[in-house]
Amino acid sequence: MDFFTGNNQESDYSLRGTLSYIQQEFKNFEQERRVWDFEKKSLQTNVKQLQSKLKTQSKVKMDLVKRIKMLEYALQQERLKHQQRSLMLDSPKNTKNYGFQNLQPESYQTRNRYMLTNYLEEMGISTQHVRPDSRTMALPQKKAFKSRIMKNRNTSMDSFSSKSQILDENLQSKSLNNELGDLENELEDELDGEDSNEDEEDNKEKKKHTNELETPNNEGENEDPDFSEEEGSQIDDNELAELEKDLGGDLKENNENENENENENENKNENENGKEEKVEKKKVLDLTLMFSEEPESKKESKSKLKQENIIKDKGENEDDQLKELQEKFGSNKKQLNDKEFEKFNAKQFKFGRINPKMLKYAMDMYEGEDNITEDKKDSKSNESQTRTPTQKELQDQLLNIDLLNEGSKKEKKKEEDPRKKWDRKNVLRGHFDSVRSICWHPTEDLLFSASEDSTVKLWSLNKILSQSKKRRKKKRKSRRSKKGEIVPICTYRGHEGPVFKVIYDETRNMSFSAGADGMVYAWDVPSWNEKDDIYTSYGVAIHHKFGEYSGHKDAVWDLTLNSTSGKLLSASSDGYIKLWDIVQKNTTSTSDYLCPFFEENNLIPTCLDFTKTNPNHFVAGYTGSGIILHDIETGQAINGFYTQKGEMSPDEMTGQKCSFDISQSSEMFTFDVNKQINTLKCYPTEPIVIAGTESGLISIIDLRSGDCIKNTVAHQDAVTGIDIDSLGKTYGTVSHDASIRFWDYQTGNFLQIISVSRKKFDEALHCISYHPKKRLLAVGPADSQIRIFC
Amino acid sequence: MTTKLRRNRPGTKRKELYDWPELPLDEMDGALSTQQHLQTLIKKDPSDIWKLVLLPDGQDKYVWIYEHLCQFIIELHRYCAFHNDVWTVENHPDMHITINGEDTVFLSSAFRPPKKVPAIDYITQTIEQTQDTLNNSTLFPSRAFIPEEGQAKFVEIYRRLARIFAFSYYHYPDYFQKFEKQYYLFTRFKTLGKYYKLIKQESLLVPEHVAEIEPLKEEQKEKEKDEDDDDDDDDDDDEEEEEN
Repeated sequence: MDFFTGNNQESDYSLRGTLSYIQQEFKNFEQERRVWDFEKKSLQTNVKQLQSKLKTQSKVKMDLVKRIKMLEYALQQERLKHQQRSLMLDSPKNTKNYGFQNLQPESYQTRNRYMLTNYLEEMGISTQHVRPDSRTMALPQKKAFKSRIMKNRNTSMDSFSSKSQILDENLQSKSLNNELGDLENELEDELDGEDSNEDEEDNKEKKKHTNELETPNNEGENEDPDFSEEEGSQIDDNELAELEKDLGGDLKENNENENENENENENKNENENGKEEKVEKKKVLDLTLMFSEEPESKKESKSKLKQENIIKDKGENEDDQLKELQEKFGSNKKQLNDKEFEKFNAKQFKFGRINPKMLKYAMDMYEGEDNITEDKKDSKSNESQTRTPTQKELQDQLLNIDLLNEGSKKEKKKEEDPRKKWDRKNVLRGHFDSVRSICWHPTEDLLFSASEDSTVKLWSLNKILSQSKKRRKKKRKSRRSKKGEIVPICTYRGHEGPVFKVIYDETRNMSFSAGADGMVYAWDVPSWNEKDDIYTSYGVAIHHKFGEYSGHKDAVWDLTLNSTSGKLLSASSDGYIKLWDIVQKNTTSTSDYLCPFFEENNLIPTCLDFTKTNPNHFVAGYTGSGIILHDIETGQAINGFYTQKGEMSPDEMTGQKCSFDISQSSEMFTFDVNKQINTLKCYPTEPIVIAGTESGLISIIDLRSGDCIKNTVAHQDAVTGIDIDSLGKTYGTVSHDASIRFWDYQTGNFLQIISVSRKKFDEALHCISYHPKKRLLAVGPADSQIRIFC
Repeated sequence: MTTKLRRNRPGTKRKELYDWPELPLDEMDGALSTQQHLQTLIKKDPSDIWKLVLLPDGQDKYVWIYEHLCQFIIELHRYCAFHNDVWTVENHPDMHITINGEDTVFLSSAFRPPKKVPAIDYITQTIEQTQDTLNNSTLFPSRAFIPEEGQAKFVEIYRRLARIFAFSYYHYPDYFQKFEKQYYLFTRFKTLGKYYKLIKQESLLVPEHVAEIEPLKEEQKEKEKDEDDDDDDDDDDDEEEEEN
């Protein structure tokens, strides 16, 4: 203040002038800051992209390894068969030595072929698809090609390392440098790994077929030079080489991106959005490229990449041309896939036996890849609008790939994958009372939890997940957590009393919660990233509240949502199930449902779920032993199912009909909290519901036929939560007997038990939730500490 | 004992929630027995402050305080929601309390260095920070034993939380009284704090007469003395009294 009072003496420094100067300086500063922020973000995006790419590549690698395994398996099968055959046919030559070396290639071939045809006919497969000649024709060409590929690989490796050097020089941000350094190491590791894999394959011989990934198998080459196992390994070589090329290409590209970004940052920020969009497009395309495995396509794709670069540099009509290219590429790809599939068939034949399982696996795999490319094409055409979706979509696709790989895994090697034992991972401490409900964000590592302490909390598990992945990375000091502990990133308050349920709406990126106060609230999900402060100023106590749905006169116990149609159902202890239209943002319910026996037996809905097969149907469990299937459109109850009947023991119910006509009798529906349905969950692909009761029963009921598929006492105490894993292979149940149990859906076998010993009064565990995309599991107990398993 | 289990099954009506026969503390087992006991007592009669504050038989003093603090946080979340209409940024752009003509502005310790934030953010941040502290596994590794580092935190937590009540008291006495009449939250807070010497009267920031309750009756005091001096022989009677 003194400064300003003395300003009369010096006419140069007027108050106004000084102020405006300061303001201007401040503005400049702000501007600079914004520019800097922008730069930072763009660099971060790049890092993310690189990381995601790495991920994809490792997936591709896995895929290739699986193929190798498959081929090996085929070879094994064939060899076995052959041995049997040769023993049976019992030619004097062969009895002495039935190694294949002594056989003349041609006679061997013809006979072998004859045998194979027989087999195929036995198995009911026509021999028309089979082109045995292609093998003999192709062999020399392939050898030549193989050597070419080897050369290519070497050169690409060279270029790879030189590129990475340049990349180094170009990077200015320290952290980015580190990140990329790691990334590079990993890339190199990966390449090394692949090389060593190959080496192994070339050198080692193993006679037993094992399930280990490292199992190399090149017996074919040694025993029978003509035999087509070699083709398998060649193809693999090709694929690997291709992969490496892609890696090289990627790096090159990234390098360019870096340059571009830096230049552009200097010039104009506005252009960058557009450019980055293009870059992303290109990357998406790149991803598709990586799936093209035909040698011929490689050249094409390479040249296309170049073309694209040119296009991008010119910056003219990019979109149109890109589309054109994509179309071209798409059709090409389809052809390739077809071709490849035929070839695959041929290969199968040559191995002498078509294993239907393998065939199915192959089909799945190729179909899956087609889907992916199609997805990508779609997203590419959509991409031109905004920037954020592109990235999101890219991530989604990566996840798709994840999922797909998981899907194919289960068919092949890691058949036990969903059934694998769960390990304790983390404990989330934040609630002060029983955790009643939890749900995952489908794509990100976010977890919502609702508790009796009247709050809903949002957790980010990013940190613990990344920690376990990169242990070698030094733990950075983060404000977010004290000593590696996870604290909730957002606390939603507003409920006046215990919160019983939280669900997430994927379509609208919102969550809904319901509690004892009879209210249903809709919440926005805050955007948050690792570097934000832990404690944010929202300026209001009840923040992120998007809407509220009032109408229930008593506690709301369950919610279920059909995200695509925007229909929300809530079950309350006032006896009503209310339907809300969240698309229209109606705050009054559009229709109510009451248990048909409400007046007679005072049955209250306890839990509900939409059937996944018919969007207009939902099932509700009541405070008796019965489940009712409702129809939204007609408003009618369609059918009733009971889980317990008179004196019949639960196991006797298995295989019997358990449906009954609700218009006729209410005998099955008597009020009995000791037999009530506590939770139910619909199977993702079939009209089947899994229900858990207070008496410890688990009932699997076919809603269409009304059969009770399985009815068994699964827990020593009330079953409180059920969830089915995203593949529908297993399901987990939690109970007040303080155990989590895992079951095989198909066989009904018990898989694993995890005990959580702490009880609060007579409550132990309340809820269980599988992450829809990742191998993560969360369990909400009464002792308020959420357990995470992986 | 009846077969009625102490649990809230889905579908339970609001008025029947937590409606189960009281379980004597010594029959409870498990790590959460203290919390169970405290919540049972609060549910039974939140106005019986001394019963809530005095250390139950056989309990660790610090564990008892810890459970009280956790319970404060649960209820403070509701306290915030209760004041949602009046604690707005417009009404209170900073955490500002005038006591006896003396202005004090509190800065949020959630930031380093502490930052001036709107009152509501000060309050929510304080609550959440406390919540995170209480859930910190180094400070409070177990609910059965509180290490010294954890014990040392109590005073700090108490001082911070007191400001929230003071803010409500000075700016919205009606809200303050209304909530108090229903839940006796501040009364419990104050009595507990002073009884266990976690906070001094001047740090509570509100006049002494606010939420002052009758001091301990002589007999209770004697009982307390007995407890301090001797074993808990007498206290079984106490427990039984509670039940009746």
